[in-house]
Amino acid sequence: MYYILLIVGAALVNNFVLARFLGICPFMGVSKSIDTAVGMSMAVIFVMTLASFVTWLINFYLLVPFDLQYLQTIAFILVIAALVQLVEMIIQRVSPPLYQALGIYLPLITTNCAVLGVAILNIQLGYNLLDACIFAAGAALGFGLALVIFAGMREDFELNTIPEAFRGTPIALVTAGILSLAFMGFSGLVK
Amino acid sequence: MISSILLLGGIGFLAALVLGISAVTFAVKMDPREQEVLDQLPGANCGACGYAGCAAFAHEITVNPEAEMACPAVNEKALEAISAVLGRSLGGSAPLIACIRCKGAPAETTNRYGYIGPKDCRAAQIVAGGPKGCQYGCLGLGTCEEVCPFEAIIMGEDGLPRVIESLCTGCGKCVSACPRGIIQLIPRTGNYWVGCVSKDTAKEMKPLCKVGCIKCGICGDVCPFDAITVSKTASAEIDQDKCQRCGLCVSACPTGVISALSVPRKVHIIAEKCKGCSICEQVCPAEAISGKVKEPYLVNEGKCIGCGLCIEKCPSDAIERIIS
Amino acid sequence: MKTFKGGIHPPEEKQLVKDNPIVDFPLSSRYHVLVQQHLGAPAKPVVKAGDEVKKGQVLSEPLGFVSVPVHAPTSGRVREIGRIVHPVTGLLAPCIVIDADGRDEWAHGLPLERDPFAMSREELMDAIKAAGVVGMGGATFPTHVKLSPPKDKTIDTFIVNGAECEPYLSSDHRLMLEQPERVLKGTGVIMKVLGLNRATIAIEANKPDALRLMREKAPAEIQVEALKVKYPQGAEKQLINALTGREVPSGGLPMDVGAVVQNAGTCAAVWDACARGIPLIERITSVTGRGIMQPKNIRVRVGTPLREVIDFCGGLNSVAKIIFGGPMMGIAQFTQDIAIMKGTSGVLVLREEDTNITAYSACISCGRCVEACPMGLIPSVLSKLGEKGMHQKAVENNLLDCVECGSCTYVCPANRPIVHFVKHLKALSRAAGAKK
Repeated sequence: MYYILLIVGAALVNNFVLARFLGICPFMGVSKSIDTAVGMSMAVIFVMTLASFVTWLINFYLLVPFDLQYLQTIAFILVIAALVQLVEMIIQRVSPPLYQALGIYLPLITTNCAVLGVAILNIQLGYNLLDACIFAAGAALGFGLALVIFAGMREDFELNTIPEAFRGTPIALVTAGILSLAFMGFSGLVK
Repeated sequence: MISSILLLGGIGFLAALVLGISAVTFAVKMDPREQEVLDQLPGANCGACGYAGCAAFAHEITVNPEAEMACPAVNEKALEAISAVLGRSLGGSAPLIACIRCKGAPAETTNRYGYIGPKDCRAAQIVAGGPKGCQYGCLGLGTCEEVCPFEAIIMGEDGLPRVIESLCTGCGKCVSACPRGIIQLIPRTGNYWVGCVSKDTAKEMKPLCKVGCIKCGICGDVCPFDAITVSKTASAEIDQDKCQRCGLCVSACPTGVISALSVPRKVHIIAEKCKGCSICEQVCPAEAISGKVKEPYLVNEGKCIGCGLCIEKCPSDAIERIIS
Repeated sequence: MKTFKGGIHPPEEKQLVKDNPIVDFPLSSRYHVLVQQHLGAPAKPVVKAGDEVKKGQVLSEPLGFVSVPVHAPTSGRVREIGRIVHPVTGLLAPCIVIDADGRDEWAHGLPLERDPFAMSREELMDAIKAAGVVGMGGATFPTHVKLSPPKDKTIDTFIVNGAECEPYLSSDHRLMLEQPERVLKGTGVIMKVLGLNRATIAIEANKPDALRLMREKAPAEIQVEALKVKYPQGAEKQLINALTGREVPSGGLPMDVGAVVQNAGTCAAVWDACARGIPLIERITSVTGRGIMQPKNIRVRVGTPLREVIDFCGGLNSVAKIIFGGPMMGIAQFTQDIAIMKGTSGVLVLREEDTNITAYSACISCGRCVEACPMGLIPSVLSKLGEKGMHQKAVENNLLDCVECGSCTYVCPANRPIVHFVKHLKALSRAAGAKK
């Protein structure tokens, strides 16, 4: 039950994109088509979960014992960068069209504040290893959910006659804001 | 201090190990020349080459030693660069340019009915065969302008499309988009074409269009190279292979329906006539005109593409073509 | 009362002609018989200028299976194989021009006296094809093709379409009221062809007199069913759904759910063809609308010039549109120099105040079209894709299931010509398919 609440909390109530406003860059950049959004979500789920696992271990078995907590940010980024490189290689091999479609946004997962955010939050919220991994998985699922929902909406409203000044990013941002408002409906779901 | 160096170094080393192993396991063989070729292509993904986009064509021409240069939009420089990268000489096809074979602007033609609907020539064509009286002429709703990936066609003030000669790459998208088949690709060296494709006899055409080919046959008679065919039910056709560009047909044609590719003549603003109203600056698609309101405006000849829109729009008749 | 999902309730406007008995249209002096009056392969003229022809004589031979002949509507001489604007395409099409000799003599042997119920199925099908019978509701699909589904499709339901859901039109209504035997006997013949022992005649509830009469006259094996008044109840997929609850699958045909639907007028034509060997040379047409001075239901021959029909009905009032068919799916005409065809169920003359000729604006995604669509599509998306010419995405959004009924266009508050966008996308899709 606790784990279900943890996942629901991370995915819906405190959705990383729509409630915490982290990871907006890929959210805007990759959500133009549902196919790329799904591909990106898979990549992020992989990176987030694995990164949380490894960074938690590094924090509690290397940083804390040697009193090196001030290296947290650098060490975490190092791990995340390596993982993203790994994911890039895998995607390039497994699905070249997806690799082309994601373009620059794939390596940008490294600087995605949502991934670093999850890693750091795990420490701040004092989760144990299992909690940390489940929290990360939930967060990644929420990220993917927001991305796919938004991509679905964008594919549709790109067809509309949008006033010149709003075309492209401006209307996407307005819509993202409204989507965030919608997700606010989840607040209070998990006490 | 040491511990921090050791720690970060250690993590880095482990990461490098893992990545090194995966680089070998997940290696993807990609020819680096492909990217170089792709950089030389225009990137408009117009599909004229027959492939799904510039990336697909770059891939094909790199991996297949027999593949021919199918992109109509590469210029000389790009062609040389691609040939250098791939180590084989690629012949470009003779550059083509689109010409609009209809001079029947709304002012010169009659309509069968009032059309109300989407502003698309193809959509209008399916409504009782189109609103224009002449079944062969330009419908003037601008579909060719819409589909051109290089923005080389603009709808003129008179309702007829104009090809911007310096931007057209001969990709042929407009040719397939036009429901009437009015647009034809001719070699850039071929200067003359007939601005009418009507198959109506002169008598049938009279009430429909004032400027079409009347099929008098004079052009066919004067052509010393036998390059023109014309009959009672087919407008004059110039065989671009035989045409030697002597221009006799143009002077002989009584209706002026035979047109010529213009040498891109730039424009020049006559300072004495210019009132400084700034209309030319606003309409110029190449941003080649600038100036201060109420003072004579100036054309940057380097940027001018010779489209002539400013000449049309100038209320003071202050702009003219020049040979530069 | 049975009905289908979606649909609209446009004003019926049938009061202009529904109580007008059918009037025989007098013989004309010249007829323009279009060679292509059916869906499918064109027919080939077999007469030439100068030939003498008799009423009911074959003027053109069908090419292939999905094709039907056309026949001379009266006796006379072939003036020429000319061209006339085709009411459906708006382009010039070949037609056989006949100068009537005034004697109106039948071709040798016609009309016959046969008992269709003693004829074999093959003989009946040959008679139907030879008579050039096509769907008289307007679609003009060759009837003999519709009645011969492939062996693997079992047909268990035959529905006669007496719904006539288009506003203004009353031709099927008057046919059922004044000549019910032709419709009922024709239904019987088709039942024999399909090998069924029951059939249903569907009539909308706004025709209580027709319902009463048909119920009275129909034999036990033909059931008469009243349907809720809603447009487009007369569309075959909606008819099948309302009466049987079955849904024709996406991209499928009525035979895929074991059903065949025929217009009431087609049944009458089938009877004439089988019992009397009479080809399809005339039909009932409602000339109506407030733009015509004297709306009438006429029994008019195929090839009659429109100008004569208009004169016969008192001439034009003020006119903004002349439509062949009904206001929802009919085709607007740009000239009066056209002729009546086999599928001309109505000539509708509308004044400016009866039409809505307004420029359209952007889709506001209000969803009214989604509520109205009887096929369960999302017309707003199709219209937006139509604006951008994205035919591939449109096909993915079930473009090809659209029956072009016009319900979406009728309800759209932005006046968007959604059916036009759909036709545009279908044309683009066909062109792209042909290119491959």
